[in-house]
Amino acid sequence: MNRRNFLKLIAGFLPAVALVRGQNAGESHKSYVMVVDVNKCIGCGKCVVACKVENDVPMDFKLSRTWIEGYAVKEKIPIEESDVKKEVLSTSKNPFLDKSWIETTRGRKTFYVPKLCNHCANAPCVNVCPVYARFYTKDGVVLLDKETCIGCKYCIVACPYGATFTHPEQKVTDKCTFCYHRIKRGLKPACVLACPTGARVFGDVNDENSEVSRLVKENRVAVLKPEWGTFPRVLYIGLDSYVVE
Amino acid sequence: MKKIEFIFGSALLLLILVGALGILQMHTHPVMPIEPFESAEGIPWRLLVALYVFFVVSTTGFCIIISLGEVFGFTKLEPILKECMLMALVTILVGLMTIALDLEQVMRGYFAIAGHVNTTSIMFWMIMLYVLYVIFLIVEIWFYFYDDLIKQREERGLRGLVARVLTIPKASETKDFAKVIGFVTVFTAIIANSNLGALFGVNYIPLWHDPLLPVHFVLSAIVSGAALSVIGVYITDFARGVKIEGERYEAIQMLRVILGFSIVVMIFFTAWKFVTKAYPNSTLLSREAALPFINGEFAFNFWVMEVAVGLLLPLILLAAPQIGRRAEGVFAASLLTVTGIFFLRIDHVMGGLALKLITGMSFPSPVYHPFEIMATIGFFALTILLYYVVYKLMPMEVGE
Repeated sequence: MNRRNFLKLIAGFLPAVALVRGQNAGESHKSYVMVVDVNKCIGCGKCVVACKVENDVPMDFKLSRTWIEGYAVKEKIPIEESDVKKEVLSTSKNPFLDKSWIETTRGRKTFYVPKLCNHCANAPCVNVCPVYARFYTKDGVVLLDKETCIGCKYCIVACPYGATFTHPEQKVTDKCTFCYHRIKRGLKPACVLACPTGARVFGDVNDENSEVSRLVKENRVAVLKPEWGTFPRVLYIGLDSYVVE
Repeated sequence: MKKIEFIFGSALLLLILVGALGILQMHTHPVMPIEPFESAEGIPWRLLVALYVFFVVSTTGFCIIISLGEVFGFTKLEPILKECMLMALVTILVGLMTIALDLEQVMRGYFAIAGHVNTTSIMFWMIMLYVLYVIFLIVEIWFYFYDDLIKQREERGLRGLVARVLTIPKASETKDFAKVIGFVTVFTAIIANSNLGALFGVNYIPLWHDPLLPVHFVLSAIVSGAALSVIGVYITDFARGVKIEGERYEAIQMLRVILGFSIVVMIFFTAWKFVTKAYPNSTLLSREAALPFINGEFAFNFWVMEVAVGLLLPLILLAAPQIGRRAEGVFAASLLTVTGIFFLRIDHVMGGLALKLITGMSFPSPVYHPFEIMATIGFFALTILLYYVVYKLMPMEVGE
């Protein structure tokens, strides 16, 4: 290759690099969050099933990227452990429709709290991973490189939300990605799409016209376990105090 | 090979095979799928991680005992240093093998060396420090054994061959070098060990999150190292048909003092750890983490195995003059201590993870899968077999 050809190559290459960098720079303005309205969740579990189908998560009770916790509170200020009854929905079989759940929760305040990876801005799983298999995207999503993960399970231990698990077939850890493959194409995450009541809303909080921006402005939002300083990207409307704890 | 050695070796190989089968089953079938804590009961780090901690903390203990004898002037320990060095090497190698085989993707371990690493991860530093420790330990052992290896060169057979290969590089003033390297090794071992303590310092797990945990790890390393040294030396001499007396008896008595003193400090550490965590005005999570040990699922492990078997009974045996002055008495106390330490590791790893995160959540009880138990037995058998092989090949009895 002579000098002229080399310069041509460089001249052709630089605008392409600038374009890619420009695209990335544009994307970095986005800041994805999910707003969950606890008052709207009816515990139907459609989000759980949609997530499992979309993301190839086994239909196993113990393995879920997202799940719903049902709470039934006896007193206004629960003191004893038995004052709060908790059940978990993470498969298509809905325990909230079970006769025993209905019987034991009669007369109590009941509500459902959908949970998933919080995509923390200061994510413990990213900090502890020895091989950088966990990383942040420019728009704030915490992703997992399954080709790099060595399966040490430190991220499972470090996550205060219990949002990570080991995929039994892939032999690496797995968690919610906000359906990153969908949102990059302008689609909604599977759980958001499946929710019949609109309890889950996803979007760019930096976009003032987005629904999440409006919800954050108009409502008091809370995050789970704020005391650990993880700065979650999953925001809750109408969350009871002891769920936050 | 004597008949008894053949039977002993075959039995160990059989147990290793059982362990290998356990590991194979764990990796080829999802026998213990790990689940999100809050959506189901589950403990991600289990028996093999506890076993790893047991081995690597023990190796630090050996290293501390070696350095006391070699570097810090506890000359009474010199007659048993060779055994301690081999046991330190064997335990670290088996320990690293344990944690490697607990990884879901063990073949990707090369990331740790290939540069795809996260330097903010304590686990990365754990790997680096233990690899460094192994290198230093091997160099220290080589220097320490060099003079005896020279003598062993004259022997025929495998022992002679090993000695001739190991003495290809030439060295002089090896004992002085061994001292210097010994200091570096123990320094690395203590840093690696306290780093392991820091690895468990996950802030939302109140049983683990404790600034004294790294110090506690070093302290328990001394307990573990002293007790395992006694066990190793006693069994070695028993197998050789030699009565423990003279200098080796004095060494055992020195270990008795070290063990007794470190057990007393350990009792204080354990007591105050749980008093501060279970105190009525501690945080809710802190109390919930401590109560399973006091009167919950881990109460038997804690009160019986850790406290009674691991701390109080050995202390009584060591302190009682008629028992403590006999090598058998120190051996029995050490055996009890190591049993307690093993349960301490299990309780620390699994008990730390099995806490209620949210009021109303059911408590995961400590259950051990048969494959885990098989693997654990296999790793113990491998440790004994490796020690036996290395002992046979190295110049342990030259000059005696």
